[in-house]
Amino acid sequence: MTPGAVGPEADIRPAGPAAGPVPPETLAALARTRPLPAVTAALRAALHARRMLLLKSLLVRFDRVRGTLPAAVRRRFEDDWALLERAERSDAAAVRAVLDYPTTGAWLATALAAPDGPAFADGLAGLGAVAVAAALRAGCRFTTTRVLPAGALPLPGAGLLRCARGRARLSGRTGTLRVTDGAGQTLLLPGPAPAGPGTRWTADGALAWSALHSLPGGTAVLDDVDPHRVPPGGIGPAALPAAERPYSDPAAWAARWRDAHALLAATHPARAAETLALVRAVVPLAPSAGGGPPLSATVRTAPGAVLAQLPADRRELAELLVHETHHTKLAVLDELVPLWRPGGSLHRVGWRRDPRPVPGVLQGAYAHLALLDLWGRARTGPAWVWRRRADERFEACREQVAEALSVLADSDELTPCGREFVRHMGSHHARLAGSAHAPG
Amino acid sequence: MGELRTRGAGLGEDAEEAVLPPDLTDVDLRTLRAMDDPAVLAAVAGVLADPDGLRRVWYTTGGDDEITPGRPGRAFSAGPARQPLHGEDTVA
Repeated sequence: MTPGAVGPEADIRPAGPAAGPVPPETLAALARTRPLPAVTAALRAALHARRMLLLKSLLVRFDRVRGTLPAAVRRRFEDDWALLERAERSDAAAVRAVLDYPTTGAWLATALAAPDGPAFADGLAGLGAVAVAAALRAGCRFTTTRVLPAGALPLPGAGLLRCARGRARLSGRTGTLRVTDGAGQTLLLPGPAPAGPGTRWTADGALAWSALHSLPGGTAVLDDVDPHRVPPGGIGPAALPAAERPYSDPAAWAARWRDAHALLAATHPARAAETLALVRAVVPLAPSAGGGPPLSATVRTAPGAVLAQLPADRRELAELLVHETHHTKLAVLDELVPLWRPGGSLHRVGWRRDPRPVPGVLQGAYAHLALLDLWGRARTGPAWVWRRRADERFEACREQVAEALSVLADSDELTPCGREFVRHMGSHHARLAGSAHAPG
Repeated sequence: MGELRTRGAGLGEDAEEAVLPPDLTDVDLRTLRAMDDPAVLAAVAGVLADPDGLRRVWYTTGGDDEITPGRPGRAFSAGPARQPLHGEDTVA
């Protein structure tokens, strides 16, 4: 975690045990859920470092089984890697943006978990999608022919190419992507990251490009096409799948996103800025069959993606974004420095019916501590429409978080760093609980 | 995460064998591919030893029906008139 300073904040303790690569000041700021630009930068750096480790893991595994792979698979992987390196030499930041995109992490996790043989070879093919997306974003000139058995090529952070004929030739030039299928049908798309919402087809419909929708006010997109955006088993007890275009309602999401961020910005500008900086994608989930409360999720290997059903209003979305952003923050930190060790004890928490393991208690307490901070501000903030709800939620949440923190403080499954983290969480909770309008 | 630890400095006398992954933040792709640093390879070995561990999901269900107030078996005392907020879960 490169950035070490987090600013002259009064409640950041300068001393404490070093947490490996995490300076104590940064650990304290993270534990207190503080939305500081330096902490955000550190988290983004840590996320990239983790992504590079997963990529290196894929390279090592490829080298180990290279001799067992078909020559065409080996050749394709090497070509894709060469394109990725070339794109990096052209525009390193553009390539980094693609590597760090949430679904790139999800693809890497899937590929690494695949057993040796055809499944791993299929996983390796995903590098081609990443390389093409990176080359496009970097503005490279390239030409590549892709065989697409599933008829689709997802370009992380850009969109999805569908090719009914299963083979496409892609030519990238600065500003354009030309796609030609086996029958000579051609799509000409604007670049370098083919944008513009919606889907374009060739006249015969065999070739289609679905660009992601940008969300207002930042760089986040509404990702309703990438096949890696939701784990194969779905989300939650109902195994909810992703909402598929055209049922993902991008117009409603864009409007609610804009309103939620306006609300957040009015209530806690730094939190709004943090959310904009850390959320790369919103992934709409399909509606629940029997209705019920909205569901949202964060996937460990895809931090920065908020998987969610469309909340009823801007307040709900603002709260959801803060909640899931804190799962992302802790997921990134947890990859960087161990906060807990395997144990197995289960504990009751106020926000669940079933007992939770210590890592689950920690994740829940952390996300709810951030909400407590938010509600503490909102209940006396400028957005009067939020005040009553925030006040009720603050009162209900305060004790629940206190109980979860007590469980964590008594646990012998936390590492020394984890104990320090929880101690800072407890300090922040005490401060919030003791103040009707908690500053800081 | 438990397998990849190297001893972390300054964690105190009860410091454990800690997983401290190498900092690859500023490494370019060509260098990454050629890298054979033992710390990096140890971290890679840890990833490859538990690839299923990468698939954890935290999900949240907003609403008022997530817990039963005063439910027996809680590890801490249940307060009155609790208002459930969100659920958390991990799915391997």
